[in-house]
This record gives sequence, C-alpha cells and structure tokens, in this order.
Amino acid sequence: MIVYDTSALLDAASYGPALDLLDQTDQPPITVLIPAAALADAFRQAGPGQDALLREFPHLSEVVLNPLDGRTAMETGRLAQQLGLTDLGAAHTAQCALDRGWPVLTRHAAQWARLAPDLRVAQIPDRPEETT
Amino acid sequence: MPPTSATYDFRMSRERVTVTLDAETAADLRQQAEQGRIPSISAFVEAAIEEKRDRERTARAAVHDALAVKRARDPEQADRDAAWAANLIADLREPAAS
Repeated sequence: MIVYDTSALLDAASYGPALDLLDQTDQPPITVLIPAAALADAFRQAGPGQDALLREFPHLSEVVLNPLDGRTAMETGRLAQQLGLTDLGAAHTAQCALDRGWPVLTRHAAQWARLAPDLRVAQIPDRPEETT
Repeated sequence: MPPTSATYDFRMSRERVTVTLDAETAADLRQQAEQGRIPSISAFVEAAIEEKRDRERTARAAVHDALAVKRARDPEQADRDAAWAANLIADLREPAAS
C-alpha cells in the first residue's frame, strides 16, 4: 500500500528503483495506487522511452488507478487550495495518500515534508550520476 | 455420455459464480446472446476476464523486460535497486509504528 507521485512514476518509467518496487509488489501483493492526475502529469513530462512503460503500469494487477471523478476532483481542489498547490498531480497524490493513510513514494521527500507535513513519504534513492 | 465437442477441455473444472451487472448491460448482453452474436453471457464475461488477464501479462512482461535491460546495463545498480525495493516492501508490510 503505497501511492506513486509523478516523480515516482517517471523514475519507474526510466528504469529507476521505483520500477523494482513495482516488480516486487506481486509477491505477495502490495497495492500500488496511481492517482490519475499524477499519471497525466507524468505523461506530460515523459520522453518517448518513458511513455511506453507508463502506458503499461495501470494494467498491472497490483496497481489501482485512482480516477479524478467528481468527489475526488472536489476534494483534490480543496486540498490544493489549502496547501497552496497549483500542481494538480501533486494535489491528487496528497488527496489519495491522506484519504487512505498510505505513504507517498517520491524522489522529492523534502518538498513533500514542506508542503504537507502530515503526509508519510518514502524517498527514492538518488542514482550515482545524480549525486553531487 | 461424454461431450462430443473437440474443443472441450476435460482438465478445466468450472464453478458457478454470481456476477452483478447494470440492467442496461445485462439486457444488451442477453439480446446479443439471443441473436447469436455471442455464445452466452457467461462466455462473454469469461472472454472479457481473459482479455484483461492477457493485458496484465503483457504489462508484467514489459516490466520484466525493462528490468532485464537495466540489469544488462549495470548489474550492481540493479542489485542495489532490487535490495532497496525489498527493504521498502518489508517496511510497508510491518504494522504502522506508534
């Protein structure tokens, strides 16, 4: 039970550690929740190679795609207003995580801690070429 | 008397389950079955389930292929990432800390 934010989706789509997590969640199963707005934002930022994998993730049996339906849209909008977020992918991620009490998988734990201190987060490790 | 169909799979045990559909879908499927466009509602539902499971297998294969590429590029990094994922899953399975 974990929620992927946009950065986690892009990490998985570029063969990062978040892809290993997706691979291992089926034995025994752990539910991975993908907020639709975060997936949309990942598609917006994805390169051609990432796009192909992103299209596969919602079809994995342990993945639940959380739709941005009427109720969720209202709650996401209100939460965005409350947190001062203009990024609706992030707001939908926060809404899903707070609603279920699940942690967010992210490459930006510090940003989440600043934006939503009540949120539990799991930090994806940096890759060697990214460390300074 | 044994079934005469050459396609009957004697190894497959079958079980009756109840599936609830919205009334419009149920009426449409019933009409299609009566008109011979689908063998039966059960057959249609079973084919839809199998199609979904096929799609899941395709997605799983795509993830496995990507991980194989990653391992071929950098086996040590692949090991580190797999170990990180295993540790995180172990953490997620533990009851929430107080």
